[in-house]
Amino acid sequence: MTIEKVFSRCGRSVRLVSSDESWSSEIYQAFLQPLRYKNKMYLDSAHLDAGVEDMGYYLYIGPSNHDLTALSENCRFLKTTDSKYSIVKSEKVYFSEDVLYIWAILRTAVE
Amino acid sequence: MRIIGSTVTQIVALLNANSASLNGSATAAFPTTKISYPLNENLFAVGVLSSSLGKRIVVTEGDERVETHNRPLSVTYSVTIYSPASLSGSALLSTFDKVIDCIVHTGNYNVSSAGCGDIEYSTVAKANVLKAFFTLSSVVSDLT
Repeated sequence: MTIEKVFSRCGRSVRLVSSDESWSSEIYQAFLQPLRYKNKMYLDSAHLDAGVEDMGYYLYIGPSNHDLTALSENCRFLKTTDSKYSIVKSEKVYFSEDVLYIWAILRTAVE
Repeated sequence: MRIIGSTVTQIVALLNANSASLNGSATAAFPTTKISYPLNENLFAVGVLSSSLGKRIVVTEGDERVETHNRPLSVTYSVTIYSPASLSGSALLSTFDKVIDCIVHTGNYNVSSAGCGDIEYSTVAKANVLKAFFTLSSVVSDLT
């Protein structure tokens, strides 16, 4: 079984969107899970004088044909059926000279 | 000159009424609302640092000293400015200038002092942050 088949069989349906959602990619499947820190700090939000920061970070692992590293600044958002995320950092993971999958850290987008 | 005794919410309302020129919105410090992420406009958090009410003002008429009902009042407000990280630090200082202009010219308050600290980057808010203050001075009537 190829890694693409694992994504399509077990992954969550997502799509890339622009900040105003005027552009959207096709729906595809990728893995998305909460990022867990060893010190459990992710359990709390951060209370600043300007408001509350939702500190929800997520690990994304997705197919190489949706290259998150090549997105322009205003298209760095990802949507599921119920949530919108901002792409904080993304990188290609290689096997030999081929891109095996895309790794990224997402954060909950608040509008 | 506008008489102070104003609450933080009045300052917040003044800044929000001028949100277009300030390119952002204001809130009283430590609200329970969520900060938008990623930040796409300035965010102002206003609080009170200190206040002082002076003794009754004494005026001299010839040899006679007359104690008036007026007392000098000054209130120092804190204003923390969060600016999108994509903007430069100089833009943050320019925004603070606009805040003071707004309070003096639009709000018609008497700003007796204003200042700010260093510009810092908040890894939590992913924004440039400037902690600043300004003092409003006025004279209030004490009829007690």
